[in-house]
Amino acid sequence: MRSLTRSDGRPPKWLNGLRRKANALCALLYVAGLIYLACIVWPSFNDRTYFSENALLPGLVDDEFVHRERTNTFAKQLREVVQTRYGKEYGMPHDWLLEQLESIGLEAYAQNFTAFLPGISGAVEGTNIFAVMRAARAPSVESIVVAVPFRSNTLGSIGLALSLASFCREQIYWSKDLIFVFTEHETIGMQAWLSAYHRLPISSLKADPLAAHGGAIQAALALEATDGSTPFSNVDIRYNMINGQLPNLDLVNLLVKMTEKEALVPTLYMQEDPHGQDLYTEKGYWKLAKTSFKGIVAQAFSRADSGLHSVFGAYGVQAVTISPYGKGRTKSQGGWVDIGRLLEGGLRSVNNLLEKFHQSFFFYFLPSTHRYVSIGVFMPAIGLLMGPVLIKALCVWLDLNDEGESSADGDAKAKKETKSESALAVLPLITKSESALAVLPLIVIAHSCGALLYFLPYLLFNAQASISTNDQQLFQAIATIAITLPICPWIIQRNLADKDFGVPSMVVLRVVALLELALIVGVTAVLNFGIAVLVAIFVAPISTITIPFRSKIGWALNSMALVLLHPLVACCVALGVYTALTVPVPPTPSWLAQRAFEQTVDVTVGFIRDSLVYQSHLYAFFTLALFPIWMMFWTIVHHRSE
Amino acid sequence: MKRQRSEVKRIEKTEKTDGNEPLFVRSMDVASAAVVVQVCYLFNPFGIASCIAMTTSVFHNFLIAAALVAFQSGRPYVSASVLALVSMLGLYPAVLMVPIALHYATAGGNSKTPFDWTAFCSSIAVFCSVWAGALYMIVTLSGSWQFLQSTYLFFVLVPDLTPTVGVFWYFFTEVFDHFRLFFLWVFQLNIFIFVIPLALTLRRSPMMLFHILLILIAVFKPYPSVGDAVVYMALLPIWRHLYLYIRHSFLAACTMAVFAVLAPVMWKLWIQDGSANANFYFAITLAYCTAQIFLLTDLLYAELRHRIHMTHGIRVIDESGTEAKIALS
Repeated sequence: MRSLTRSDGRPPKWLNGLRRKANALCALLYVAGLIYLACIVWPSFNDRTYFSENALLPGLVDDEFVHRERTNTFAKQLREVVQTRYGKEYGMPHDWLLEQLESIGLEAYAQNFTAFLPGISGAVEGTNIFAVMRAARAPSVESIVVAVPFRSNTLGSIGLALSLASFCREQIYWSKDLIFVFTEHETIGMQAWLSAYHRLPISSLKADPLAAHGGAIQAALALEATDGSTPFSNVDIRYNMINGQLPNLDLVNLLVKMTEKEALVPTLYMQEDPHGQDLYTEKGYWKLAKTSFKGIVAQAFSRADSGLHSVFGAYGVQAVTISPYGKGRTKSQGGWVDIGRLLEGGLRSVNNLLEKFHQSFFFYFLPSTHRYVSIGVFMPAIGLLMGPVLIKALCVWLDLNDEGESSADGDAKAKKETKSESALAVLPLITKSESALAVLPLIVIAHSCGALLYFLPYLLFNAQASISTNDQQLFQAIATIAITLPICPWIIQRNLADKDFGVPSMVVLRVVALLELALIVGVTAVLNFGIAVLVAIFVAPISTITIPFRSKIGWALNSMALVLLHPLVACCVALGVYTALTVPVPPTPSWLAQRAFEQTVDVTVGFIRDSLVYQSHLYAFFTLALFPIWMMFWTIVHHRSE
Repeated sequence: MKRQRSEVKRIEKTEKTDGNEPLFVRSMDVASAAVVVQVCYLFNPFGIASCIAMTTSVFHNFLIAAALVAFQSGRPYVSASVLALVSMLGLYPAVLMVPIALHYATAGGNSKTPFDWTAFCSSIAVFCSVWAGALYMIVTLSGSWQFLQSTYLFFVLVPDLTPTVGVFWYFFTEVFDHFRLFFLWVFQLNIFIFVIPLALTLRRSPMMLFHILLILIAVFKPYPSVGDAVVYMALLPIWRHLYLYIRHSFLAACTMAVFAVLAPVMWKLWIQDGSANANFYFAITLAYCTAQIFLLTDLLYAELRHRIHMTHGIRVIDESGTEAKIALS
């Protein structure tokens, strides 16, 4: 390991240079990280999308779906049934769907489920309807899922799915089963179906076992057109799943290609691509940047509301949602039949697969439908943004143990009598191990506070008991605890003698907090790049300057900055800024504050519900991972030394 | 500890005590070492994880610790017998017999005492006979030699390539069949071949040899687990007097912490989500092995450097009167 130390055990020369220029280097790396993020969206630095899986053969076949009348009939009949039976309430007509699916010739089944959610009184009950079309050419070892949610405005999509099912039943080339799923309560129903299909029970979701299975699911396509009038002009392709997972890029590219084949415009987050000649201009760049930003935010705070595809990720299934919208110009294209042909093309391509999707990227973000930024290109941004944190941790550690280290040439300086001599110019040793261990209680307390905050909703609101609660009560409980917990370090520090908590122990705590922050952000960057990069941008600079300041002004500024970083406060502020930017009329501050607060309540309770039903880890990330680190920084800033 | 105390006495005779205090083993360290080692063992996250997973590494660790206790309290044949039991279970702890036999061949003396071949051979003989006796008992109880296929031949031939925290599985998934035997020999020889130079260097420090061999076994076993790392990590506090010369503690500790968090994440991404692949998991496992090797070389370096300073004092002045730089060649 010659490069890490010199042969006589002294630190390498570059380390001394690093320590001298640490602050400048940290600032430089952070700014470089921000510039890097801005640069990778520019088309010269990323690549055009391509198909990695040869077996897909996208768009090679002639699409044969022409059943316009059948689609319209199904949709009209469905509307009539819903209207006559449920009126304005839009209940799901389970028996009618079962009857139609059986008349098409598929095996149709129903599945009941019950969901217990905190903040919602009573249980959410529903029934999914699903039909299996067995493959003619293969044993039922693999399957493709077509999922449509039942909502008041998806009646047209259900009509299309039914006529597509009848079309597919007549073909002989299917080598995988097709499973058509119509869910009630949208993603809750989808999650219930999936957990029963894979036999992985979820505690807050009681799902009946399925009467039929279809083999390993290779891909899932969800259709969710709102019943705007056809013709459609655009198709929104949604691919963000829970916990920041993304489907294989091949599947997204496949649907983009199918959309373009039907002369429709594919969009991401309702943003169209820049036109061909605009790609390398400033106007094009802002479009790309906007789509990328929306992509990162969508991946970071991925809830289940973007479509039925979002819950498939936990089961290792690649899934995408198609959402046609917009006002088409000509009557002859953009109708339901074209969407049906789009789906048929996609299904036939996936039908060709020999292995499950593995060739293309799983970690990427898309500035446009034809450009992608892969993990190799965006991960250095995290390295550059977190570099300051790591360098600071290293420098603080070296300074802590530096008491015997003389300068690089070995000239003698004035030393205290208990310190070691210059010949011991070796790398670190904690001379005061007692004070180093004294920070352990603080670390344990910080993490216990995070654990308390995490388990609080489950302790207060037992999933099986039907305690009627509402969002407000739940949020109040959490907010109270989250805001009063920071008092703990004060109490602890007042009760312990200051000589036990001398400055070295705060410095050790700082090293631990910085390293833990770098570790958490680094690990999250692999799992969910969106949230990692957002946290890195805001937390990295604050954490490097958090030290126990002596001066009053420094202490006040540091405190304010940290308060802004408190997860709840940061959430509130971010939502306030977002609302202010997106609302058309300039709002009054009081209205804005109220809106931001309401949204914070929604978001927090939403995270808790997501963690119960969809096993989303966002709530755990904020309470178990980020909150303890914040508590440690808070302790450092508010340390009273004599 | 006994050996360190004897070395301390040697330095005091040479009258070079000024400023040499950090080199010596402090009595308060000896007293507190027992408690610190215990705490490090009980609260080690890898140990807790092994207990939650209900693995048998608990028994392996117990027997190794028992062998160590017998070794240090001057009972050569007891430690050889207990070590025979561990080796019967796991095969690779057999290399730990080398430091035990060396200790009883050079019992407590300095470099002038002659090597006692009788003690060396008798402790190895006890080890072999207890192992043979245990094997005989197994043969009579199970009635045949079939068990060899499932135990020792399993370790040696590595038929199962389930991913572990070791280095074998990834390599053997891609090796061609006609080279398999060759690479099996190379990989298995890895553990045993390093024992020879280490034993020659550390023949007067058998405790350090024991510790280093524990790390070596944990890295190069065919089917290691994180439970193997718990014993040597717990034993680190006994080298308090060597902390001065440890160079990569920060790096190794950070790598271990990153491994502890990132390995389950990579595993989940690969096996459950299907997003990552084997390379992600193997990369972090390789980082873990590298951290262990850093620890091993650090301990070795610290021990050798400590020896030099024990004979020449904490500041080494050479003939011209300037301070000498000590380099590892």
